[in-house]
Amino acid sequence: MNKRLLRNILAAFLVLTVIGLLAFLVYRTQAVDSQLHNEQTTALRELRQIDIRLDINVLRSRMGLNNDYDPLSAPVSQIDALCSHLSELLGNDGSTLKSLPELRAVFDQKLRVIDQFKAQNAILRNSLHYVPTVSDEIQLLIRKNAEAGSPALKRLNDMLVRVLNDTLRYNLMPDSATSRQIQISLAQMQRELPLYPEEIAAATQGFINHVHVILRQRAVEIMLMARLGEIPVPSLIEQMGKALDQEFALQMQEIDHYRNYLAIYSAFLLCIVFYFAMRLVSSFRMIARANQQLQEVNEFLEQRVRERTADLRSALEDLKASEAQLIQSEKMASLGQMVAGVAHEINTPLGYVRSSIETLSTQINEKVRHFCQDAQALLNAMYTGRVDEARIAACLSAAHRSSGELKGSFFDDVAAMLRDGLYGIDQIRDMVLNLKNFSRLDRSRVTLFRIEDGIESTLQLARQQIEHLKITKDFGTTTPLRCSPSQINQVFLNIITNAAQAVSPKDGLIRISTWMQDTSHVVIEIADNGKGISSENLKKIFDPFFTTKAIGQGTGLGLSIAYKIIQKHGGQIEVSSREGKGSAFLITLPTEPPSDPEEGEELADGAAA
Amino acid sequence: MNGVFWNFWVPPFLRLCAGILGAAGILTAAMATSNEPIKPLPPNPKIDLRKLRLGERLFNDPRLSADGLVSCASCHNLYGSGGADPRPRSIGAKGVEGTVNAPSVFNAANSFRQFWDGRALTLEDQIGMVVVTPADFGTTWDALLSKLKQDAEISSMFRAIYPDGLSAKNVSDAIASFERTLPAPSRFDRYLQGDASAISDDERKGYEKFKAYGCVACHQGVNVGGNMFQIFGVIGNYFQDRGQPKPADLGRYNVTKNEDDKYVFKVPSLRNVALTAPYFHDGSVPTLEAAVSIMFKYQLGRSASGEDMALIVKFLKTLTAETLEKSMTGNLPGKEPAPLSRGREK
Repeated sequence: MNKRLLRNILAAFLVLTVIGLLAFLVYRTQAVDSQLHNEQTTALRELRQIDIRLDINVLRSRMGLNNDYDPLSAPVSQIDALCSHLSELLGNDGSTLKSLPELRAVFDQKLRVIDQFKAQNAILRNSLHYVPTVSDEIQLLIRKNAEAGSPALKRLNDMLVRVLNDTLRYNLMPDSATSRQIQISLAQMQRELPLYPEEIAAATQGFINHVHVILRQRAVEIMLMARLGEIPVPSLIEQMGKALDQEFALQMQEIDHYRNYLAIYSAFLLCIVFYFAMRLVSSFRMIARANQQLQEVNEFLEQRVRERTADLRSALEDLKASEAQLIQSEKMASLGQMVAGVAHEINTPLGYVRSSIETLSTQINEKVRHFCQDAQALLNAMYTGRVDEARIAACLSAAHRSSGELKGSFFDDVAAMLRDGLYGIDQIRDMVLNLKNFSRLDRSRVTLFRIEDGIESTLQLARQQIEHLKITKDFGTTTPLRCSPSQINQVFLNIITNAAQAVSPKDGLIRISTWMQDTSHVVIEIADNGKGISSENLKKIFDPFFTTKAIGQGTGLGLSIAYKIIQKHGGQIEVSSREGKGSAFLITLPTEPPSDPEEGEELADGAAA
Repeated sequence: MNGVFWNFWVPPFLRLCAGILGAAGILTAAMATSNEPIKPLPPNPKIDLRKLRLGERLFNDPRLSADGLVSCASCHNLYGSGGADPRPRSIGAKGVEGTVNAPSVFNAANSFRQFWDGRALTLEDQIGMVVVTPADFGTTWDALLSKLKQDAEISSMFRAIYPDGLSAKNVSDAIASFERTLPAPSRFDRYLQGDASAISDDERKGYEKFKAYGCVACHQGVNVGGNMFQIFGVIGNYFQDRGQPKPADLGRYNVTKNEDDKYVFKVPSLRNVALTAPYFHDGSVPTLEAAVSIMFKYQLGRSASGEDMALIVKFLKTLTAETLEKSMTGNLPGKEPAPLSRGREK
């Protein structure tokens, strides 16, 4: 039991493992999310494009082609959004994700430089725009001024033109020499400021300031552009793109591997399935063969059973025949016994019928012939007339004598003898009648029958065996039964005979009682005060061939036949006994036997047998 | 091979074509309109109207602050002061005084960063910082959310709009969404779009001066500023001249700790500038004229005639959103202000 459970669990585990492995392989061969990869690549590409646009717009702003900084500030939030998007897309995709914060940092760095660039560029542009204007203004003021011819103002004028040219050139092509030169001129201007009229001095101060601003901001610009160029956004993006592609390629490769594994595994599974299928087919074939054999065996067995049944039936028939024979012989045996009794019964009356007739015959021979002869002689004598008187007288006296003998007791004797003879004949007739009643062979086999009549005729038949016994009859009013009277009588005869043999001849007593158990059952009790039956024998009393009598005296079939007869009639026969005290047979019979035609037939058979 | 060709080469090729077409389109569009440094306002994003209503409610909800007295609207006065704070420095929860003058919320959505020092990138970031800054709401998200949770109506509004209901992210989203619908075009936008009569001659002259003097170098783009940082005091030292230096004067340095970022601030947007007095991060300048002249002195390093400055101020007033111009004139006692949010049904 436990072993079986273990085996089941093991099998389930095995199946689960096989399926699990298959599911795992199928899962691993699912196409990588190429869309995800596409989106990642797209996001990176967009970042790259934003970066390129930033660079382009920085250049445009520097060239003065852009007059607003929206193109440089709008990408700030775009980059942030794209980086967040990318971080979502990457999920926990190892190596590429690691460089994402780096990318953010690099972008932040770039945006910081661009912020500085914007501020720087705005100032530079303003100053570049303002310097020529203020230079023109100063020159105009100088020309307007009364002291226009003063050497200081003239120098200022020259310096203005030179510094303006130098500054514009410096803006286009910054070099330290120009810068130094400008610085020197500006310093001189600054020194000479007090020499100028107030208005010109103020404007010149502005000019100086703005040229300084240009110099400063242009340097800042160079620095910022250099820094901008150093920021490795493109290379980082390229690196990330490559990493992504590599990862994707790796995944694809992995999938290829798993696909191979799956193919191999599938082939393996197919082999297993095929193997099992083959086994299944072969076992089916075996089962089919076994089935066929089984069928053959079955047919053979059926044949055997049929043969056996036939054998058994013939054996049963034989048995029935022999049983019938046995019953017949038992019948013959009881008949023999009975015949002995009957012969005795008939013999006694026959004896005195015979002796009466013998005596009568002698008497008639002697006395009636004498008288008849004398009377004849007298008549002859008298009729002829020629006879003498003496003769007549002699004849007359002879006749008188012989008639005297016939007188008186003679006729009484004759009558008595005839009466005796008739009595004997009557007895014989009764006996014959009883015999006829007993066998009832003259009636239909199954008929309505008063049980008491059966008992009476049986008692008559068994008179010889029971004559010295005391018979008590205690008959109730019973309903006639439908039964086979000869068979029932046979039962009674058997039991009564047994009882008669069991009781002692001195004070033997047989009590026969009948009563109605209910409206449809009659009970007959035949009890005796005989020697009883031992409890051991009591069990076997209805067994065939069981007998306590000496060999040759009984067949051992009587009671078994009685049992069978009662059974066939749907009744019961029971026996109770106490050793030394007596036995009692209790027979219960239904008023209507079971109306089974076969039973009836068997009953009839039994009756016939 | 075929697959590789279609998957690998065709999409970039198509994208290239689209790029060329797009570039061509942009170029022709640029040529068709103008090459002005100031750009007209783009249309606002389309946002669920329910979300806007919720955002507006939250914007005006003082429960967002620690003491329940300060709302977004406390410092971003939408009706009187062009979405900015009329006080020099804003007062946060529990009376904590801020360090700077609250700038306008109206076109914040179009600025490249938030706060004077640009420490927040998005409006949502800005809201998150306001919640926890002591001089603003001075609270925590947990406290704020538990307060809002008690309001069944607000909670159900959140549940109706967001699958995950009330949360810090969704509160920020609702308020930011509302703020994104605030930008409203001005007369000058109409002028930029070709309606020459949208502004007067003086205003147009003021615009020319604005460009000529170089104001436009920093105040350009869609937001007339708001897209770059600049040092306050390009020429001359503003803070020295003003006196009383404060930590907030260091500007972006406070964020980056970068020496170059000292006194650097986000260039503020000049949209609605006529309404957002007092001016500058310190709120030290009460009038537009004074602010313009300070800019001339410290940023441009030049002077201008009073006439030119007046023209520039006139131009600046054309940058006021027309809805606000109307609401200003309509904001008389007994009149409901016109709705400011330009959200549209999705």
